[in-house]
Amino acid sequence: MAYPFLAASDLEARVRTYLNEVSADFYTQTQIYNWLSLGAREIAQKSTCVRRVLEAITVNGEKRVATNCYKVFHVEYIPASGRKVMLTKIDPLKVGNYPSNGTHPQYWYEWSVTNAGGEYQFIGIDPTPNDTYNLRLYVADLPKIIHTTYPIVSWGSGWTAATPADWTLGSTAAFSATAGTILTWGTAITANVNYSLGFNVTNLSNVVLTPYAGGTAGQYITTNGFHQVNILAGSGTSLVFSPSVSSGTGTVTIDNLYIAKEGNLSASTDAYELDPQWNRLLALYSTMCGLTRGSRIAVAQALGELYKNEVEYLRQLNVEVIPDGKNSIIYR
Amino acid sequence: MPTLTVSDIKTLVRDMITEATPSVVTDTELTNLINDGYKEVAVKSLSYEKKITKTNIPIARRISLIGENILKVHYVEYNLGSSCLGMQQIFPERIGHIPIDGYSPQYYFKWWNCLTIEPMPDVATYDLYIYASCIPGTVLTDSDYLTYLPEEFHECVWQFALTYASYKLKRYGEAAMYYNRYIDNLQKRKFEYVYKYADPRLIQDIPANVKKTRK
Repeated sequence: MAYPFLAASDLEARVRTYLNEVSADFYTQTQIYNWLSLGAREIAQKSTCVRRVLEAITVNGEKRVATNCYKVFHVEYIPASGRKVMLTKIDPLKVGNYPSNGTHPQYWYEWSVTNAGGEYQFIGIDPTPNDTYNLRLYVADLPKIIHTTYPIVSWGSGWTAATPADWTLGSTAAFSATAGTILTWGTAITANVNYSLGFNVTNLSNVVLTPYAGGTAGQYITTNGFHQVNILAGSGTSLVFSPSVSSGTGTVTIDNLYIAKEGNLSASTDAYELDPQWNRLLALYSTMCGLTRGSRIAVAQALGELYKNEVEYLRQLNVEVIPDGKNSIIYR
Repeated sequence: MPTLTVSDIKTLVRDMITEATPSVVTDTELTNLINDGYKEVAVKSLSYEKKITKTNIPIARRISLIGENILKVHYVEYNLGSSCLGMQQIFPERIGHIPIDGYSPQYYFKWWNCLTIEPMPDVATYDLYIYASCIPGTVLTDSDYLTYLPEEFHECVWQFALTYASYKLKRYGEAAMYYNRYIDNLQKRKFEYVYKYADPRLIQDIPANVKKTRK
């Protein structure tokens, strides 16, 4: 990732400047990388600055929809036709007591029953879906490490199509065929790790596009536009796009693929997907940890207060949605 | 008109920390501090303003802003060809509920690195102008001016660099003093030069009464 994003080695250099230890001695590189990784998650948790819009689909007869993120803020219902609408948030007490119009999703509530690894949580939909319905979840998520090529815009090398004639690979990956044939990335991914994929879809017709990570299917895509999908990769190591043709000739074009992987900083080139304005606070957080380790408690406490205030300030400045008022556009 | 180069700021910092030639604070570290300050001042002041044009957007609810280095979107204009329409920012909860006039873009909100448009446009392609504050995307070297930062904010970068050079020197009291000066100066400049206020119609009238204080 290019400047202004800072990689692990750049951030380490900042921390070492603040701690006045130019090369590793009392503070090892591993310690500093660990503090930077902790700091990245702490910033994302406190500021909710890593926000995605994840695709989701209801299951017939199942109130719960699995989510793979820190928190769901909003749920948008995508009807087959007509206007898309944000669902009203309720709590479980309101289920069945609020007026409903039809059987499509109208309300949602938070209830976090996590799986053993803590990756999956759930939201509830009311009324109970009697079909598969498309949703978009507006969520806050944890920061992930971005792939060295971000985004991938060159599909001509490194990607292999099961049937080459079906895919035209260049600055985009364009599929056109009567039967679905998969497209596989030549780079192995890490098994059993959480991935975020972002990609742009155009020219989609008669196709349902499904990304797979390590054999685990992500949410399938049925519309054009920019899509984000979180996948907890399975035991395999391949990243695959699989188009399923519903009728006739199916077409879909993918471009600008953003890949990010959950994990701690370990290589000097690793960088989190946090926006660059948070980089300095990462260095401050790690410096605070270092000062604490060095028993310079008063300075660590002062720096901690500075860091805390800056996280809150930047959240208000850059993260929160602050709407315009009705009067903002009236001439008077 | 640019005023300070990176090299100028280095000299100013070294004067104050009384380290005329690199000793404790190395030249590389000082370059990093100035580059960090350059970005930090842009972040806090929102003074690096850009008008980003997005043309021929295919029908889609969301527009990716990844790579634009945007800190904050202030305004979005829908380009109608012969004229433009300022779109209002809304809370996400309003999607699907707010009254709309046709299916051309009328409202928006920013969700991290994407812009969400309401209603979902019904035109094949459309154009938007995005008025945003951004973070500079270039690394400065000694001979560089603080190119994308307005001139009135350049001195803030010096104070930022002084703050963290003092940290390195373990002069924590001085660091706190420089930081307070940095924030104080930046806030005053931000109020003066960055905040925008539209005139109300009444501003063109002669006021009925004016209170004058006796001097």
